[in-house]
Amino acid sequence: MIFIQYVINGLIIGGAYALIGIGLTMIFGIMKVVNFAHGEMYMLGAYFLFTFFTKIGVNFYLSMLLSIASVMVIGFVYEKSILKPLRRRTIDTVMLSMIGFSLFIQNIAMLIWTPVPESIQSPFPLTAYTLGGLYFLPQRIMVICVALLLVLLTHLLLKKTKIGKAMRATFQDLEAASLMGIKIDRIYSFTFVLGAGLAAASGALLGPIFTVHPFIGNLANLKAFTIVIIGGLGSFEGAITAGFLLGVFESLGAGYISSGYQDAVGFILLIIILIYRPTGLFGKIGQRR
Amino acid sequence: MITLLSLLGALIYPILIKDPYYMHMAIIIGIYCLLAISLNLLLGYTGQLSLGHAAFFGVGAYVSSLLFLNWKIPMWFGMVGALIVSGVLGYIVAKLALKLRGAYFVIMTIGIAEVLKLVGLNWVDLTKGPMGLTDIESPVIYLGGLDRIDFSHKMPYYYLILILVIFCFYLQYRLVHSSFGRAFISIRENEDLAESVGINCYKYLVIVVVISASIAGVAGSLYAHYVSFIDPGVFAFFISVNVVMMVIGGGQGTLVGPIIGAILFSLIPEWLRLFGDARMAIYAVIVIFIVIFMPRGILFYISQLFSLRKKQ
Amino acid sequence: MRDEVLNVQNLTVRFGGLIAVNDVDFSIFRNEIVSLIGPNGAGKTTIFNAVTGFLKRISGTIQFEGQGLSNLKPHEIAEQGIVRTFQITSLFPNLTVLDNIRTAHHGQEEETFFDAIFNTKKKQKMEAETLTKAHEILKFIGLENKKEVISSNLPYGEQRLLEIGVALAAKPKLLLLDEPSAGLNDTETQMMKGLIKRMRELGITICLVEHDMKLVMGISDRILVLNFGKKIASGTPDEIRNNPEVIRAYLGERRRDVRG
Repeated sequence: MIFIQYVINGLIIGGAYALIGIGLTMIFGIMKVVNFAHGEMYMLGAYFLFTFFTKIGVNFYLSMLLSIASVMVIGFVYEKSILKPLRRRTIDTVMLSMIGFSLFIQNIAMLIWTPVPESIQSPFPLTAYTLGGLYFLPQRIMVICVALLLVLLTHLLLKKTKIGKAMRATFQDLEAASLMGIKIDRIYSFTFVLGAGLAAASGALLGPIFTVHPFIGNLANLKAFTIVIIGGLGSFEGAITAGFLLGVFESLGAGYISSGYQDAVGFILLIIILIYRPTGLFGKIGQRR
Repeated sequence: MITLLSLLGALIYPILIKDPYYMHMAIIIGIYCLLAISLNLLLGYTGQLSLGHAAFFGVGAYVSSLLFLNWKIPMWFGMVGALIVSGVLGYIVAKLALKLRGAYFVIMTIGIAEVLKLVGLNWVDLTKGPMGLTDIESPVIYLGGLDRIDFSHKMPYYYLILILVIFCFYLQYRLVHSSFGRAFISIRENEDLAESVGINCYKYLVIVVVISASIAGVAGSLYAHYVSFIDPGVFAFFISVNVVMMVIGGGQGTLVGPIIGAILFSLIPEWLRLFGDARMAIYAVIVIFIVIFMPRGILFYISQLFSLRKKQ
Repeated sequence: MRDEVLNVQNLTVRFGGLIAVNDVDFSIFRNEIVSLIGPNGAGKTTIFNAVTGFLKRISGTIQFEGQGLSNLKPHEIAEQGIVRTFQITSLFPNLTVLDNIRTAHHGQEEETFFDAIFNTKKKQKMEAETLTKAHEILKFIGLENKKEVISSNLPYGEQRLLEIGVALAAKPKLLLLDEPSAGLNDTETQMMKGLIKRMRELGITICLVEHDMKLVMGISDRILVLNFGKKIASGTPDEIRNNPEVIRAYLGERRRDVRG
C-alpha cells in the first residue's frame, strides 16, 4: 500500500517534470539548441509565483498565469537578443555563454529576492483526502491536473494547429521547412517561448512543494536534461514518459533507500540508459557509428 | 626567454615576498595551474568540454584526506592514492560519458560532479557530510638532527607546488609534441578524418581523460593538505566553471595558456570581493564576455594588438 | 588469377525505410583504377561509407585481401589498408599543411606513453622518420613550398590535393577517393588525373566515385555503374560508353552529368 502511495506521489511530481522535459526537448529538437538556461526559467516561474501570490496577494491561479506569462516574456527577450546572435557560433561557445547567462540570472535573482530560501504557502487546505488508504493532498492534486492539462494543450497545439505543424516540419527538416515558406525565426521564437513557459509552469507548480531559492534552477536543469536524454532527444512522448518515470523512481528511492540521494536517482537512470539504449527510450536509432 | 625569466621569478618569489596573503595566493594559483593544465589536455587539445572537473579534484581531496585521517598516511602517499582513485574515476567516466559527445557529454560531466557532491553530503559516516573533514595535516621531512622541512609552512609548500607545476608543464609539453599529442589534436580538429587514417579516437579520449583526472586528483590532494579542511564544496560547480574559464581565458590548446588563465582566474574572484553580493553576477558577465569575444584566450588577442601596433 | 583486393557480396544498406544500396556485388583487383559512377543518390558514397566502417546497419560480406571486414571500426579498417577521402573537403583545419600529413602518419608510428614522456631515442627516430615521410608526400602532391600554411587558408584546389596527401600518409593499399575532382577547374582536374596515375604507379589500388565523365573515361581500367542503389553495369570505359542501360539511367536523370 505504501508502495502505491509512493508511486502516486512520484507520478504527481513526474507530471511537473514532464512539463520541464517537454519544453527542453522541443527546444532541442526544433532549434537544435542546448538550452542551459532552462533551469532558470523554472526558477523564475517559482519566484514570480512567490512575488505575485505570496507577496502581492493576487489570486493563486491568476498568479500562476502571470508567472508563466512573465517568464515567457523574459524567454522571448532572451531568445531574440542572445540566442539569435549566437546561432552562428560553435557549440562550445553557445553552451558556455548560456552557462554564463544562467549564472548571471541566478545572481540577479539573488540580488532581487535575497538568497534566503522562501516558501510559498499553499492556498489549498492542508488536510489530505483519503481514498482506500491512500492520501491525496489538494495541492498535489492540483499539480497533476494542471500538468496533465498543459501536456494535453501542448500536444493539441503541436498536432492540430497551423503553427504546430510548422514546428513539426521544422523539427523534421529545417531546410525543407524554410523552402516551403515557413518563417524559421518565428518558429524558433515561438518554440523557445513555449518551452520557457512550460518550464515556468513546472517551477510554479513545484514551488509550493519545495522551497524556492535562486539556485533551484541548477538541479532542475540537470533533471530536465536527464529526462530529455532518457526520453530521446526531441521526442515529445519520450519527455513525458521519462518525466513520469523519474518522478516515480525518485519517490521510490526516497521512500525505500534515503531521501538524501533522491536527486541522484535520475543520474543512475541516465547511466543505465546510456549503457543499454543511448539514443533514449523513444529515440531514433542512428546509422552513424 | 620570457619562460626563463618567469621561471626565475617564480623561483625567487617567496624570498622576496613575505606577506602571508601573497604567499597564500601563490599557492592557490599553483594548485589551479595543475587543474588548468589537466583540463587543457582534455578541452584544449582533444576539444572535449568538461564542466565537471571538480569531480576529480574533489575525489582527490577526499581520498587523500581520508587516507591521512583514518590511517595516518602522509600526504606523499595520499597524493598517489588521489592520483590512482581519480584516474580510475576518470576511466569510468570516460567509458560512460564518451558514448555521448558535445552537449550531452557536458551534461554528463556536470551530473557526475553533482552526484559526488550528494555523496559527500549524505555519506556522513565516511565524509562527515556537510561538516567536512578537519585537521588534515601537511607532512614534515626530517633531515637529521634538529633540521626539518615543515610543509605546514607556506614557503616549503610553495616550492613543492612549483616543482609539481613545472613537472606537469613538462608532461604537457612532451605529450603534445608526440604521437599521442597529434592524435589528441586530430580528435579536436576532425574526428572522422582521424578515424579514416587509422587513429582510434575513443582510445585516445579515454587516455586523455584518465591523465587529466589523475592530475586533477593530485591537485585536490594538495589543496586538502594545504587548507587542512575540506567539505563537499570541493565539488562545487563554480570550481568546474572557473577551471574552464582558466583554460579558455588563458588560451586553450596552448602550453602557457593554462598558466596565464590560472593566474587570472584565481585573482579575479579575489578582486571581485570588493563588489560584495554582486560579485558573482559580475563574474558571470566576465565569463560571457570572454566566451563570446575572446574565445581564443586573452594572450591571443593581446598578441594581435601588438602585431597591429608593429605594422603601424 | 588476378589478385583480388576487395570483394563485396550482397551489400545492402538501409536508412529507415529507404534502401540506399541494394544487393550490390563487385570486386576490385590489385593496382587497378576503378570508377564508381551513377546519378546523384545512386548510393556511391554510401558504398564507401559501408566499406570503411562508417555505417552500422549493413548486410552482406566485405572481404579485403581475404579478411572479413564486418564489425570493424573505421580506424581498424584503415589499419588494414583501406583509406578513404571525403566528398566535402575534410582536413585538420587549424593545423599546418605539414602537420596535417604528420598527424595522418600516426598509424605507422609506434610510440608508448613512456617513449612520449621521456623523449627516448626510439621516439626521436620515429619523429624524424615521420618528418621525412611527410616531406616526401608533400613533394609528391606538390605542396612542399606551402608546408607551413594553415590548411584552412589554402585555396580550394590545394586543399583537395592536401586531402590526398593526408590519405597517402596513412599508407593505403586501397584508396577510395570520393569525388576528387569536385569543384576543380580543368587544369586542376588534369593535375588530379596525373596524381592518381602516379599513385597507381606506387602500387596503390584506387577506386573513385566521380561525376566528371572525361576524367572517368580517361583514367579508369574498369567502371561500375550504379542507379537507385543497384549495380546496373560493369566493364571497360568503351563497354560502358555504349551500354544502353547506362545511357538511359543518365538521360533519365540529368543531362549535365554526362560530359563524356
